Amino acid sequence: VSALSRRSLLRAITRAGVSLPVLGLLRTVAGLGCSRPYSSNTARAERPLASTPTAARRLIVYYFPDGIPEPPDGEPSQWHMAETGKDFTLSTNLQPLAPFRDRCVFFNNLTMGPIGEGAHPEGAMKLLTGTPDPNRNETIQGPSLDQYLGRTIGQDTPFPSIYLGAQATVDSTTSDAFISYPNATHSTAPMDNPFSAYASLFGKGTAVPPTGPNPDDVSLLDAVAADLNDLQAKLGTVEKQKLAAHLDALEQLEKQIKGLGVVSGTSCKSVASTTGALTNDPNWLAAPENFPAILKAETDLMVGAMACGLTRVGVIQASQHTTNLIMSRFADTPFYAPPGPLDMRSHQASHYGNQGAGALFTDYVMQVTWWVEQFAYLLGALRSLPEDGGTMLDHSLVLMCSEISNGSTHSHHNMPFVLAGGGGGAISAGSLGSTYDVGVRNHADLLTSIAIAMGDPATSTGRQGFGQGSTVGGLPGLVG
Amino acid sequence: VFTYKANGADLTSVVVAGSFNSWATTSAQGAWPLTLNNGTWSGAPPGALTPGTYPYKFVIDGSRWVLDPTNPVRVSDGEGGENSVLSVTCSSSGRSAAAQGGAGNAAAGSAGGGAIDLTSAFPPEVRPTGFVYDDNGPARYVDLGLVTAYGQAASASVAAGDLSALVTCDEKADPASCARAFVTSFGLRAFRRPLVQAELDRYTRLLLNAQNGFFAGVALVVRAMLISPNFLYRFEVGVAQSDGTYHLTPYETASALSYTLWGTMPDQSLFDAAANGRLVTPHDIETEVRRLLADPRARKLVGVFASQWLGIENVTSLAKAPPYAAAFTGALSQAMLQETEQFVPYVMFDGSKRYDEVLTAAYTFASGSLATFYGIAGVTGPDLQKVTYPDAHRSGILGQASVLAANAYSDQSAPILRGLFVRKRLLCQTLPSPPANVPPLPPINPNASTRERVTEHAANAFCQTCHVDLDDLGFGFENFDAIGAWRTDDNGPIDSTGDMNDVEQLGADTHAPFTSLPQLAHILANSRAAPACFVSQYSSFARGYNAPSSCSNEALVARFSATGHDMQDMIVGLTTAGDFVVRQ
Repeated sequence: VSALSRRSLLRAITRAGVSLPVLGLLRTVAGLGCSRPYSSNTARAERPLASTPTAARRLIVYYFPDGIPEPPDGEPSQWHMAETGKDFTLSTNLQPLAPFRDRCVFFNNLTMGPIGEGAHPEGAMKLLTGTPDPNRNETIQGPSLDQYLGRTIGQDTPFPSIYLGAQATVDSTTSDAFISYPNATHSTAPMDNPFSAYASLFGKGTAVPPTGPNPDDVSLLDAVAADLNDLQAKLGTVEKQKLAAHLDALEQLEKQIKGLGVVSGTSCKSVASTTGALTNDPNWLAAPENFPAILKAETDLMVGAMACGLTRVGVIQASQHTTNLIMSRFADTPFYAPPGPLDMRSHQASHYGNQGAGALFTDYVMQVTWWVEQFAYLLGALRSLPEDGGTMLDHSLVLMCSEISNGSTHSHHNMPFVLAGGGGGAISAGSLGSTYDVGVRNHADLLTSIAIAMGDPATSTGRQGFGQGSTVGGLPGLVG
Repeated sequence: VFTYKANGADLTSVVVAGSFNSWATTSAQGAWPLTLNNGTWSGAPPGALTPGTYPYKFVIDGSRWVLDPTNPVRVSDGEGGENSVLSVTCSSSGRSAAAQGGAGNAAAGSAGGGAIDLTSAFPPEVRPTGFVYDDNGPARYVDLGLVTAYGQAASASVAAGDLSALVTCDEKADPASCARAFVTSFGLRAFRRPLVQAELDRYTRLLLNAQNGFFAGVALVVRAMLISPNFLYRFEVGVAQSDGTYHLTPYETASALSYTLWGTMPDQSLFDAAANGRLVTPHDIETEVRRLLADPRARKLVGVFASQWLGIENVTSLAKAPPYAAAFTGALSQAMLQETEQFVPYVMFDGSKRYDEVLTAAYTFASGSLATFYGIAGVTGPDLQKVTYPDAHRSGILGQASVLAANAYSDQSAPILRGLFVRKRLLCQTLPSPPANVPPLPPINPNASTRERVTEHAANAFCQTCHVDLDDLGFGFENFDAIGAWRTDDNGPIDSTGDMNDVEQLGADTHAPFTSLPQLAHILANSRAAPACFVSQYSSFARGYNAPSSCSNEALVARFSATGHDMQDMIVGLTTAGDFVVRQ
């Protein structure tokens, strides 16, 4: 009778299961503004304005931790360009983007507002939610741009959005370490194991079986959906939101089973080899010296998923803020040091002080340049794949960001944003290849512009901006 | 999958010998060879095994017999020693199913007990800021990633198992009533309550309408139920009463108790108690709580609580630098984690049961390598056993290497982190986040001690406002290096005098100097703040959210104090309090 031990089977799953909280608590959470159910149907029914440019095919957000080196006033920035417009000298940190210079928009003067306590976690919360300023008693409010777009323009793909990480859950799984917010108050963790990510994304294959979907699978989902409907009638608001999220997930599963929206484009090739150099062992995957290979594998997975049409919206989170990642153990980098007293962690280097010199500063500049190199690798991978007479990069939007600006002062002003690609013509020719600077603007305006460029109905019809501090229409002249 | 980490040793061969291959010691005789890759030997059984349990050991270089260090399941060999145990609940199909479930086919280190690990591909659970436990109700949502992972695990389960074992009726004679009987019995376990009529009808129909016969239908029902919200969420909703409160149903109470005390579903006795109306009064509940506490599952969950409370879950994956890296082997860090996970339950169930002993115990648990690390002679092998410290250097959890290594940098001790550990984890005190624009760290002076460098770093008055509560406390741990080993020299003789200032409240400007960890332990055990913090920590773990300070919590703290900090009684108190079954 031990052939399938029911109890151990159930235990194995429920141990990592989930729990509904008690009602008394839920009221508190609801009071924080939990209830803002997003109706994708309403939004989708609205037609974009006729003047809306061609929508970008996809968005990939690339995040790296712990900000950038911004020396004090009077010295040149290591990141931001001194000149605006198209005639500028590429900064030290951004040198790896030289081959893509004409495909990038480099932003000066985008702000996320003043900082309160804990600028790192606060920055991670603000980054994609577009929330401007928690000091003005505004609760950080999700969803984040990726999750939002997943609901508005990501419904026709097997995955509304995909969130991958590279050692992003090694230090902690604290909510404020992550940048993707499916709902108002809680983030979600990225898929951090490339093997599991591969299985989730490609495990079922991307082609519809010639015989059509398995009717058993469809009736299975119907039964579970009926369970959900029964519960919806019985529970309170917050539980209903949980069940709605569950139902959304089942609907996506159904689309996957039915093979809806899967495009096996010419660039959809096997990505099985991306994990070839890795070892599926928790300690191996947590070791700092293996970080570069893991980030590369996750980047390849994201590009592969996009090439196969699995999604239009993706986020790659490299590590997490204030990380203990010992970057000095990355082989073949100028900041490599053998394990020992010279171990240099990302967060350690970012606190270089204000001396603008010294070992911490030197290492930090090199570390940040390395993060930019990995962004350049992502751009290169997209450019290597043909798509509709051009390359995938031509039709993409690729956003690079970090949760703070100056690593030492933790400033949220003059944030390090770079938008690459071209979005298939969605980004204006005047902006591409330039340092974009229209004075101090909220970073939520950039998020709004991206939403517009992606063809999101609510923002592109001028009905609203994205995020609490945004301007309707986003940044002037960027899109179109 | 079997794995064995060589930890730098130059080995020629590692094979698996056990009852399944007549204890052959060489691969020529039929032992199962492991292959070396990146310092780890790994391999899988060459073919399917019939379900059952099999004792085995690894044979190193043809002659040295060792237990499987990754497998905690052991059995006596009848000759005073032990063997590891492989439990086969699924044969070779289980391995392919595991791969299908996303576990991959490389050495995943999940061989524990030989059963497939269905949870390895599950996304990590996000913990809200300030909440250190992995199960938080408000933060928990089932999204596409989770449904996919759960669905794949469910598919792996049904692919690996013998479904006929789940069906006790004759499906050929009367498929319809047999289907209904299966749905009834499996549904009770999956949903932790009897199914209502509509559910019974729905799942019976699902089973009978399956494309490829009765057992394909059984598999379908199992897969469906395991991604249903009724399975994935713990329902503690209750029934509305006339006074506006909600009372948990007996089945919800049974589920709440088993998850709180065991971290898993109710057993048959608990289901029976729910069915027979024996889970209503506080006395009923206390009877069940005491029964559950006597079960090994309660002990195991207390170990899980301990590792999350103390923040040592990641100790096995910490990167340490030379000269510490060589000593900090996988086996040693694993033993460190196990030490704490065994020690806290031991105090609660076998020791005095008192919280004070968690801090003050002069004993601990150590494997051979950990005992050597602690300077204790006479322990060999990977199994942990109870040992007494040979000196007064260490004391309870404060001196355990897991805590010390987790609160240190790769290459040096970290007084600030250790001070923070005591403040946050043991005293529940909240310090403000470090300010922006902290002054630059002074250059590393290779001739200065850690204490001197930290003192210099936080010398100015601005820094002192916070660091006064961290550094003087953390300096008391300076006799322990980056991996928790005892040391007496750090660029000169070590000054490990400390001050447990502001023990009851930050800013109170009280002082309690100490010169050793046993002294610090007594200061904490005799404080009001530390035992109250422990109650608060356990309550957060048990409830799945940070319990606000409330009458209920104050009553628990008072009860804890009145019983001399009896930790078992604390659990009884928490689960029999009115608010456990009556929710506002």
